[in-house]
Amino acid sequence: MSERTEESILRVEGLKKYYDTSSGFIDSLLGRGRSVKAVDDVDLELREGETLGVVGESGCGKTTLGRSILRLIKPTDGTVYYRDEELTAVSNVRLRRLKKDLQYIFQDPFASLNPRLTVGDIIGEPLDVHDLADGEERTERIGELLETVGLNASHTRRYPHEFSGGQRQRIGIARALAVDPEVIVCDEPVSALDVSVQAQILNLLEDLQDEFGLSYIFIAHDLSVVEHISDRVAVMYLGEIAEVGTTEEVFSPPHHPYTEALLSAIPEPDPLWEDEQITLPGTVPSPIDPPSGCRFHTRCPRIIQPDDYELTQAEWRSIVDLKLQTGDAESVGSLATTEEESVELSSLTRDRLDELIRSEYSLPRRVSDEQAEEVLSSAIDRLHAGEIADANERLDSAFVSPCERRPPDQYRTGDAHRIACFLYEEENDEHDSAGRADAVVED
Amino acid sequence: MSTERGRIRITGFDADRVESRDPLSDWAEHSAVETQSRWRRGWERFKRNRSAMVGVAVVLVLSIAALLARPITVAGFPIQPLALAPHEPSTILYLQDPSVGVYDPPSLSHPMGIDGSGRDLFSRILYGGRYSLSIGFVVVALTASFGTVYGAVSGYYGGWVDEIMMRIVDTIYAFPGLVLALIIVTILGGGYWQLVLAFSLFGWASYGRLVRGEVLSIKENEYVMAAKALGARDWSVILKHIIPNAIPPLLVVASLNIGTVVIGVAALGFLGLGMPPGTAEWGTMLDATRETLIPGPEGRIPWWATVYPGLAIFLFVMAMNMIGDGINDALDAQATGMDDQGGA
Repeated sequence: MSERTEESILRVEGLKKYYDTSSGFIDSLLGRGRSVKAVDDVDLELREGETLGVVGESGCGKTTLGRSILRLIKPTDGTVYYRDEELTAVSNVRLRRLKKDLQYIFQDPFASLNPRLTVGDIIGEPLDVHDLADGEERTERIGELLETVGLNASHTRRYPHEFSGGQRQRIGIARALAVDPEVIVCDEPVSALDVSVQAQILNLLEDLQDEFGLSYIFIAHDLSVVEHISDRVAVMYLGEIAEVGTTEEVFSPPHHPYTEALLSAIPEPDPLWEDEQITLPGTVPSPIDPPSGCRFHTRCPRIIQPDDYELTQAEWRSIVDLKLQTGDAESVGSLATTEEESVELSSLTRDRLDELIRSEYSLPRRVSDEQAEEVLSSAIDRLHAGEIADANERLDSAFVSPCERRPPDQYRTGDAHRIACFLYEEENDEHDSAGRADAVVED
Repeated sequence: MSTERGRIRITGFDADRVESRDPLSDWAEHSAVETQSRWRRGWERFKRNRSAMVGVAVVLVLSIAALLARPITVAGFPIQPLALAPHEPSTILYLQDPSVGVYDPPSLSHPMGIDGSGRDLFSRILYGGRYSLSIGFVVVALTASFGTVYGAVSGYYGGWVDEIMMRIVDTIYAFPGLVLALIIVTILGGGYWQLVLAFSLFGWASYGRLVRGEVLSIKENEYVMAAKALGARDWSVILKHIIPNAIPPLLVVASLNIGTVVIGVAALGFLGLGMPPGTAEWGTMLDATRETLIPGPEGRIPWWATVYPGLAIFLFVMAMNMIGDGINDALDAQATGMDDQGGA
């Protein structure tokens, strides 16, 4: 997309942002609060002149990541380097100065412009804050900026409510450009706009990048937008980076199972196109208490089996689902549903319950591995006796995926391609004997 | 059937085409109308509100009358030579003109009659506006500006700062405002500036609480974070983004509060705690003629001695309330009627 140099301009190491859920000072006094792990141990690197796309579903921590990189919110832990300066450690005064180089474009063009200020004052604010221009020069610069983003210089005296969404987003971009920044974090800058306007804004951002040599961190949930604009892409799941690499690498195999599911969800206009769409079961787990090991293991269609069993992948996935749900369930009734509502589950025979549970989790009458079948049917026995905790214990001790034991490192699968999934652990050992590929640092 | 993506391409969405297509609306540069600011729109709406305009007229008449009642001289130079009131407010008329008696009823030469000390009531009421009205405006200006800054700081910084600052406000709230003012006046003695102090010292608490609430919601707006992202200092964020957005409700409360303060001053005056006895302040005048509420020796009640000062207080407070309501309606974003402009 644009000329790239190999020098890194922004480096994120082990960035964490935990939110406290305690609701008042009494809560925090008693230590009742729990922390929401919005961003957990993220490593990233942005090179000069490139666009790094960050994708992930709602609530995975993309916006928190973008904001804590620029210290708009204070990160809990970790460091961010801008060139050679540690952004997370500089004084507030220095940080304000650095805002001249680091800018942010907001997602919602309706909320991010003060309705009481004219467009001229909105764009002029960064000029005032950093004493960049005043008087005649300020007016000129504002007009110039408005024209850079494709608006008319005569619009300075208007109010934001007089503009359309796309025009407002251009005003937001002009405001970010006013200080002549080096890095702009774009937080879903087009997701509030309709599709035809999205294209205009994306092209504008690309043109500006060529003109001013900007580097972007481009946060989005729309994969086609990211594919269009990014040089490199990072995929986030539940506060962690699942996969990172150049756009071509991420959009072609090998994939992280989560990326694979995301990619399969891109709509295809071809009526003759038929490919398996991967539907992820369940919802994103709560970031208050994220799953152990690989955070995706609760939904991963390619969750790894322990060596002891020889089950089909579908059977194994279903058994893990059953195991996870017995852990949360309060009654046997929430594990199986009957067609006749009136039937009391406790009054069912052992065989009927067995049948119900197997059909609920689409398990066959007998699973293909003898040993696994034994554990499974004994667990259903316990469920029939109403002892869920005991059943869960049996399942828990017998069926443990390597994915649950420890979090995966980012394994190297290509030049700049890293995937945080145990499926690629062995490949990694061949390529990289150091074991832990720290981040995406060396290239 | 195929599993390959991208066999169908939708070319209509080519970026170049999007750039050069027909405009989506018939809007053009020359059809633009000059921007109307929110305040101007509010003013247009306010002007159409009859009762509010009556209120403005009453306040204007009373203020101008007070101003022109007697000449004003500063350091020997007359800066306001006019005199609407025929007599000095403190002149005891029967000393100069024996035909005038105590409690003379209204007549052509004394349109509101004579009070118990032989002074012309009409002159005193015109002149008395200087105290009663100005105290209202001065107190509200002081309390509203301090309360705004206090509330803005408390709401903006939050946490412990907010906790402590709001507990102070709660403490002030625990006492009725008039009682606090009464205590201060009793300690300091009567007088104009003592009264201002009495009503200002604790009167800001309600503004503080109001503005804090506004700020709490305003600071969650993304444009506040946007200003911080630009590197703006805290005070400039507060002054430029937060306070201007908190002003409309403040303005409504302030305009209603002017009336409350005037009533408070009159109440203290009636209790004999406001201005020194004999001052032409409306409440003090009521106090001085208190005995006329009971029939005199000949069984007649000189009603003019209490009705006119009371009427003056009533008129002013009523007018201020009408203005306050008018401002409330004019700045209400939900109200329609004048909303002929586009935008969200």
